[in-house]
Amino acid sequence: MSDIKVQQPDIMISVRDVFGIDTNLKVPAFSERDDHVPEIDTAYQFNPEVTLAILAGFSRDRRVMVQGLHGTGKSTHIEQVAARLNWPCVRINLDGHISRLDLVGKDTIVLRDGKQITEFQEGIVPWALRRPTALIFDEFDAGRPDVMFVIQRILERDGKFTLLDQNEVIHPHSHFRLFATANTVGLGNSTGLYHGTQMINQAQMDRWNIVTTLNYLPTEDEVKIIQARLPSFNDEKGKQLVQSMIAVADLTRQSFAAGDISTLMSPRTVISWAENIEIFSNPAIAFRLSFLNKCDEAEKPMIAEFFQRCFDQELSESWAHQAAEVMADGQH
Amino acid sequence: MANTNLELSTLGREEEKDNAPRIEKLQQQVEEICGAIVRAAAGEPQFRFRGRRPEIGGKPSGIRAPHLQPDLNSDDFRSFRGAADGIALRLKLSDIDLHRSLMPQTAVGQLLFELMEQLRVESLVPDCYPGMKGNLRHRFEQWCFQFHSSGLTESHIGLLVYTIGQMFWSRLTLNHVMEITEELIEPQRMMLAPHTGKYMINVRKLSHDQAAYAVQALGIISVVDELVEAYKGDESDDDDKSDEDMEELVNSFGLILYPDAGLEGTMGVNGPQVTATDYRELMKQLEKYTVYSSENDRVIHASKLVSEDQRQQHREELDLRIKGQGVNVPRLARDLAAILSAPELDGWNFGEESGHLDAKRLTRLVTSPEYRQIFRRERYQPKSNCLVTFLMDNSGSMKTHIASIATLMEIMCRALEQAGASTEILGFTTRAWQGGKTYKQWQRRGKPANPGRLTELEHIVYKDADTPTKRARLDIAAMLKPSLFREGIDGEALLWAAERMSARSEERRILIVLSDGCPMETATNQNNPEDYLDNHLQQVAGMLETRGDIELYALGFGLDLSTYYRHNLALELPERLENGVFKEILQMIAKHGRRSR
Repeated sequence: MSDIKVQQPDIMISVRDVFGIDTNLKVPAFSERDDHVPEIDTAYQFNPEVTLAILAGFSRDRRVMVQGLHGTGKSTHIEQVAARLNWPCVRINLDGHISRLDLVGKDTIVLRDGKQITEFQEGIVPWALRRPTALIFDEFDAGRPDVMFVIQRILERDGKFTLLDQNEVIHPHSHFRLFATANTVGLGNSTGLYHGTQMINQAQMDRWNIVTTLNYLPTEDEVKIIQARLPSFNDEKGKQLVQSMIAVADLTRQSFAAGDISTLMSPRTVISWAENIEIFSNPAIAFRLSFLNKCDEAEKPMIAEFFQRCFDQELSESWAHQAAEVMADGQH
Repeated sequence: MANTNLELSTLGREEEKDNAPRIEKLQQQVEEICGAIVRAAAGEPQFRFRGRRPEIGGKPSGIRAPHLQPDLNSDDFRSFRGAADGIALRLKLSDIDLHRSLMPQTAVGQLLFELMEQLRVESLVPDCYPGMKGNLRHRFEQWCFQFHSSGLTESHIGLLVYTIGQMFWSRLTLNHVMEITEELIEPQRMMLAPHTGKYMINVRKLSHDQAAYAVQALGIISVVDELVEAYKGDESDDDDKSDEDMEELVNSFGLILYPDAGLEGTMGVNGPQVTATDYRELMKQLEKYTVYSSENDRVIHASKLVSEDQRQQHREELDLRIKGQGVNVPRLARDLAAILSAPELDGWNFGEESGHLDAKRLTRLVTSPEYRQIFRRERYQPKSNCLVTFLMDNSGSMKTHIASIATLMEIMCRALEQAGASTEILGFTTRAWQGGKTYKQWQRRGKPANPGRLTELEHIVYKDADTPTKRARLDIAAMLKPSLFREGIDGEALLWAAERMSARSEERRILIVLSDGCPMETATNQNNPEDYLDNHLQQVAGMLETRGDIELYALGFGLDLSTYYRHNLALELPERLENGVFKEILQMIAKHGRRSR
C-alpha cells in the first residue's frame, strides 16, 4: 500500500461553498489529492443533517455512525464528504468473514534472500491508525462479536492500540478518523430484513459520539439524482417517468413498513431500473429485470398492483389476469 | 348451528349458496390486495378490511362514500382497485373529524356531503399515478352507470343526487359528464344553475382546502334540502310513498351498510401499537360476559365419547381418504420447519480459522505452523420449539366439511411433528341442543333477566400435545361421528384452548381456529342482548391478539371470519387435498408470524 504524502490538513474550506449548506462553518481539508481519496461524484445529493454530522466527525474528531435502510447511500455519503475534503479514506466491509487477524495483522512466512522467515504483517487497523485516514466500517452491525472488541479500543478518541504479538503500542495519528454505517441501530434483526446483523454490545454503541440516520430522500431530490446520473431522462417526459418510478418505489417502502411485502426498492434499485430502461427502452421489462424478479413469488401480485397505479399498465404477474377468469370481469 | 350465509344475504339467490366458499375466498383475495394498496398508498399500516368494512386500528374508518363499496357479483376488479385508491386518498388527504363535525342533518344532505368530500380527494391524485387516476375514473363511471341503470334516476331525489354527483365530478376532474345520461341531467343542471352557481364556481379552486371546500358543498346541500322539501310537499297526498322512496334511495347508496354509530363500536383487534388503555378496555368488556351456570360443562377426551368399534370404523374411512390425497408431506414438513424454527445452540463446528481455541488441535500448530484451522465455534441449528393447537368448531353445520377437515388436520399434524413441533387437536360444542339442563334450571328458577351463557359446554380433546399423532389415530377418527356436532360457543372455547396452551413450555404457540360460522347457541341468543356471543368472540380474539403470547389464526369454511380474527383465511376444501391448500396456510403463518416475534 502506498503511503500518504501530506500528513496534515493544510487548508480550511467553507461548508457553504462546497456542500451548499447555509452555515458559516469552515472545516479543515487537504490541498492535495492522494491515491486514497475517493473520486468525486458530482451528481451526489447531500443530506444537510447527515453531512453536518459527518463533517463534525472530520473536524472535531467525533466517532460518527450513519444508520439507515439499505441503498440509501450511507457509505457513499461519507466517501463523498471525504472526497471533497481530499481526506484519504479506507472502507472495510465487516461481513461475517472478517476475522480479528485480518484487522490486526498476523505472522506470515515470506522469502527473503532465499530464506523462509516469519514476518508480522500489519492488518488494516494499525495501518490506518498511523495515518491521516478516515476508516469506514461498513455493515458495522454485521461484524462478529470477537471482531467488535478489537474495534472497541480505537473507538475511544485517544484510544491507544496495542499489538500484543509485537509488544507495540500504536498511538493514533492526530487526523485519524473513524466512521461506521449500519442497517440497524444495534438492535439486531428485528424486522427480518437484515439477516446476519448482530445485536451490538451497549458498551460499543456508547462509544459512538454521533449517530445519525439517513432515510430515503424526498421525491424531488431522488428525481434530481436520477436525472443527474442519466441525462437521457432530463426532459419533461423523462421527469414524469422518473416521478412515476419513484412513486412505485415509495409504495414498496410504505408497504414494507406495513408488513405486507418483504422486499423494498432502495434508491440504488431505482437507479439501476432507470439504467435498464435506457438499455431495454421499456419500463415494464426493465422493472421486472431490476426489481420484480428479486421478490417473493407470493408478493409479486401486490407489487404488480403498485406498478399498475403508477404506470397504468398490467404486468403478467398481476392478479387482474386471474380476476378476469373468476370475477365479474369475465362476464362482461 | 352456524349461519353460513350471514354475509351473503345480499346475494339472495339459492344457487349462489353453493358458491359461498368460492366467493368468500375471492372476496378475501381481493380484500388482501386492496387492503395492502390502501396501507401503502395512504401510509396507514393500521388499515384493514374487517367484515368488508374499512377499519383503522380496529375502529371504523368513517368512510362511507357510496361508490367505494363495490360488489363481487356485479363489479370487475378494476372497480375494487378504484375503491381502494379512493379510500387511500381519503385517508391521506381528508380530516375525518373535521368532515364529521360539518356533516349536515338530512339523509340526502349526508349522502351528498360524503360524496362531495370523496370526489374532492379523488381529484387530487398526483400526476405520477396515471393508473390510480384511471381506476378512480373507472370506478366512478361504473357506479354512475349502475345507479342509472337500476332505475334510481327515475325518482326526483335520485336524479337530483345523480346530477349533482356528475356536476361535481366533471368540475373537479375536468372530465366530461357521462354521455349516456347527459341529456337526462341537462334540465336538472339548468334548474340548479342559478341557485348553485356561486358555490360551484369555486369548487375546483378550493379543492386543496377541505374547510373552505366544505362551505361551498354545504351551500349546495342547503339548496338541495329545500328542493327535497318541495318535492315532499308536492307529494304530500302520498307522504308515505316519498319517505319510502327516500329510504330506498339511501339504502341503495349503501349508506345503511356503514352505520356511523360504529364510532363507538366494539373494541376490536388493534395493531401491535396497542396501548395499555386499549387492553384494559378490552379486559373490562370481557368481564361483562357472564355464565349462568358452569356446573354442567365438561372437558372430555374423544375416546370417552365414541366407542372403540365406531372409532375403528371411522378410522378406516379416514385412512382411505388420506391415501387418496395428493400432498407431499415431507415437503410440507420441511416448509413448516423453515417457518417455525429459530436458531438454537447445538454443539460446535471444528476446524475454524478463528473462534475458541481447540486444545485437541494445538499439536497441529506445532507440526505445521501455517495451519491455522485450530479453532472451534458454536454452531446454531434451527429448531422448532413450538406448539400448534387446532381448535375445531363442532357446530352442526361443520358436519358437511368434517371429512376434509379431519384429513387436513391429520396431515398438518404429521407434518408438524416431522418438523419438530407439538400439536394438539381440540373441539368445542354443547352437550345438548337448545341449552339442555342449564337452560331448564334457569327456567325453573323463574327466568331471571340477562342470564348470560345459558347452555352446557362440551370441550373435546381429540389429541393432546403429549400424544404423538400415530398413537392418537383412533381418537382423531372420532371426530367423524355426526352426533358430536351440536351448537357452538366460540369465545369460551378460545379461552379454554389458550389456557391449555399457556400451561405448556413451548416457546412459540400457534392457535388455529377452524370454523364455518359465527357463534350460535339458541338458548343464549334468545335470552340475552343481541350479538352477545358475537361480541364475546370478538373481544376474546382481540384480547388474545393484543396480548400476543399466542399467535391466533382462523381458517374459515364458507364464511368471512375477518370480523372476528385479524389473521384469517377463507378456505375451499376440495375432495382431494392438494399442496396448494397447505401452501396458503403456511403463507399466512409465515407472513404474520414473522413480524409478531
